Amino acid sequence: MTPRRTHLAVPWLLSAPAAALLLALFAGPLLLLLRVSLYESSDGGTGFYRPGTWTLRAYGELLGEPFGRGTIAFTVALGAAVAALSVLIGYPLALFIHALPRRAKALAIGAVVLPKLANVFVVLYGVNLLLGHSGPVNRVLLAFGVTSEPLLLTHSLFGVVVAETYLVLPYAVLVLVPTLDRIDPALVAAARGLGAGPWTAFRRVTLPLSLPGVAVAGQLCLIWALGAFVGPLLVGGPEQATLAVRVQKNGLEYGDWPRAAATAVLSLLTVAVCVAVYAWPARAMRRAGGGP
Amino acid sequence: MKCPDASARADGPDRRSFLRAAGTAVGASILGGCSSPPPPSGTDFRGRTLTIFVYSGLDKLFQEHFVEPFEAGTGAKVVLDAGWWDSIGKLKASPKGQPAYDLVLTDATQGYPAIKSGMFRQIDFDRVPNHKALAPVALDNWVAKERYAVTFHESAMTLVWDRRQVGAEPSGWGDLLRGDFNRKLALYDSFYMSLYTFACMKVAADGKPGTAHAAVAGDLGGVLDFARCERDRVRLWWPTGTKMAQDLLQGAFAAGNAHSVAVLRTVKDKPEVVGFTTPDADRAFVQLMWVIPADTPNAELAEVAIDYLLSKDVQTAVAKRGAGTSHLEAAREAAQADPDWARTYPHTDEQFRAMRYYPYEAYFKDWERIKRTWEQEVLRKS
Amino acid sequence: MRRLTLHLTRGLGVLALVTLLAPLACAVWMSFAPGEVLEPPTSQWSLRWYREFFGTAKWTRAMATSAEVAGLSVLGSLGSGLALAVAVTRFHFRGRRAVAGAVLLPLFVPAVVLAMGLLPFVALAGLQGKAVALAAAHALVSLPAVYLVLRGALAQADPDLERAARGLGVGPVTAFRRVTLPLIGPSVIAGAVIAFILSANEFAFAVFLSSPRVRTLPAALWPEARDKETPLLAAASVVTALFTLLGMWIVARLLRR
Repeated sequence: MTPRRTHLAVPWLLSAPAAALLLALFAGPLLLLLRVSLYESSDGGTGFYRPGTWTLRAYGELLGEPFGRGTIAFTVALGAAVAALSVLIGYPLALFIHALPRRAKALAIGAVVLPKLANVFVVLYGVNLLLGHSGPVNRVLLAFGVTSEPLLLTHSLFGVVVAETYLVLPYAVLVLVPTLDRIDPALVAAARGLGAGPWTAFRRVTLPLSLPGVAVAGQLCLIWALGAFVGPLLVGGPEQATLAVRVQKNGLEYGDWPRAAATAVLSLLTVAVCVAVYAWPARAMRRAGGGP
Repeated sequence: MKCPDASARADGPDRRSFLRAAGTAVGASILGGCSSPPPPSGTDFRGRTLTIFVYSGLDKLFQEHFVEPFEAGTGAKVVLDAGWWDSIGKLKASPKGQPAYDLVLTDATQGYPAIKSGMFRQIDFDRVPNHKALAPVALDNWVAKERYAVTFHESAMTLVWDRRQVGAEPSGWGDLLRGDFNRKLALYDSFYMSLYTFACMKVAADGKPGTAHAAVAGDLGGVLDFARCERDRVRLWWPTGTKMAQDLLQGAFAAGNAHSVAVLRTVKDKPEVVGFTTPDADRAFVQLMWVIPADTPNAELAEVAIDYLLSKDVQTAVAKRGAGTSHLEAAREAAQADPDWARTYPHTDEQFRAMRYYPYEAYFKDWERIKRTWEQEVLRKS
Repeated sequence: MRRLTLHLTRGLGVLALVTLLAPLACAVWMSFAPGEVLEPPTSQWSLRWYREFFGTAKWTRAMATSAEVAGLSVLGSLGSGLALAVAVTRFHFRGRRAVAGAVLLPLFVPAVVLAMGLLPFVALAGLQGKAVALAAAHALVSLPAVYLVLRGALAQADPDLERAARGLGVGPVTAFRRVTLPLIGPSVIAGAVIAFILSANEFAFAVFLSSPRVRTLPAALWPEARDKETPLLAAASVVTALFTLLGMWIVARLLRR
């Protein structure tokens, strides 16, 4: 992709609406957030923060104590795992959907998107039901003799990973299907015509050409998964609390606004760092696909 | 980790018991001639709009039993807004002089800090004559005494169990320490209820049931240690009442604590599964309150509204919904109508005298320490 | 052998889709429960909750508000996201990297926190409780995702095609509209779908920026969801899902023309 130098105002004009949205609706709250995180927490029961104070104590506690560091580590690990799972499961599913005839393809995409159109509480309630103590998963496990007693799949790490992957996967599919559609079918046909089997044609034509799309899907899923909130809240136990859950607990249940704000700022930094780290493999994937 | 054997037993606050006795005496003398007072006459609030924040699920109830007679009686318009914890945040963000609400229903954990930070104004109790129809003990706390809130009780801490799994039915909180409940308990993840549950278990184990309040106030360290010791008995920590009900019906736990309102609702649909009791010793109730934002222009109207909300009609509807009511007459009638309600909530004078909220004041004295221990050592394996 | 693998892959694909739908199927099933407890009905089925949903103004008005807000927010995020994606992929300008990074930031902050932080500003601007304010907030939240998707698509679309059209004497906007836009069409639709989903489901901003008059469905349902999930919630979800699907189908049909 070669850059084009024309009217220098054009790119700025094009960027203006997005920039305006960011400045008007994001910069203000972000600065407010930063300021609140630097207040001193009041002793519980006397208000939300001590006005007029400045302190780094909230950050110190979060980063200095194993509890805070553990939450950050868990959030990152969960985010990476869920993103990876979403792409790993989403890619074959996208391949399957991409190969369907037009009407079935529309239905399949509808089926993938449909769960996201329902209220997330209801959907996770369904997940809880399926993974529940007397739900179908446990019944199957008992029937096949894998366990003698029903397993506690909710309130557990397993449940959280399943729930979050369930919530993030549709985005992976929504990004990957158009990616696969964009690959010129003539290229695959040519490979087959030259004698390549279906697996080889996929491996040497489709897969490399789809890697830029995979990079985007991975980035999107990573960002969503790092913000995991409802899944850990409703399907996980206290050991599966992510940064977002801590923000909610501190801010709204305990009224400790400085700590909640500091957790939110750290959450932002964590995601930023993860995205920056992700840029390496992402660039490699884009290059492999013949991108910039 | 070894659990502490002896717990220092502290006496309950003497000032409180004196005030309660005094209050009861006064209340009893007033009660003699008290019924639902007529709507205030001569007050015309035509053209005004009162925006009230209530907890979800209550808006339908208030719409039916409160909004119509109130609008008819005062000429004002009512806008009900239902939510959960968004009220405080919205109020804090409202511009001065234009608070998001004119009247707010909140609880002690949210209300006390907000009141202390000056968000709410004092209430003229003379304009809320129905407060005298409440059990005096309901108003026996600092926010009501300093006139910042009209407080009353709602949900009780209830012992719930799965009748399919449990043979010998538990009768007190000490029973949760039974061997057959080990690793099969389900407790609320919020400490305002579950720390108190641990306190009840501890005093029962020490052979002194009925002293849980004193234990939290006087031996907080002992209670926290006990919680830390016994947390392994808990199989799961429920985050919402619905999750608790779902897990109970699925058989995921044998026994635990719960909000009485959720239990009474679930037991109606599944009596063969849900067993429950609200043990007499160490009963504790959620404290709710009506508060008026400091800079509302409709303070008088809000006070009239509180009065209506405390009327017998509204309180009877509240009781029918499965919650407790501090309105003496409404409570008496609700108890006669529903035996399950009667064995959960206070309705006789003696029961009201003994009614206690969760030990909020003790919690707020040592908030940081409790929160830290709870989050890091009780909820999680340390 | 090939036929076997074909059937196997097809079977697995269908199984995956069915698994994706299973929790939602549970929700649909629960919406027919006759009692108040959120449990799948086995002996008695009832349309009671659907009747209550459609019969109560609170819910139907909330649904209409949700649609309005979601529609506005899709326009906002598509418009600004597409423009930004074009700027970043087709032009080289100072601040390009900064803007491309900054656009992702809103995703990194928990929605509840952003909502609480936004509230005082919205109140100051006098927009508290207006649908436009909520739509703008939703556009902000979906902008990063929409931008990412569109940028990926534009990066893949060969700029030489557009250049060829320019060489033939077509103006820049027309070249974009008739050459590039159809090429990235599916991604635009994907972006619109993502933006719509985000807005229709979003409850943090909806709760804080709402007023009794302007309330989206998630904001109206949120209080019910926390401690008192009745099958009404399930019924509402089913209705929302179906309506949205219908809307998407209509849009897809229109675009095919």
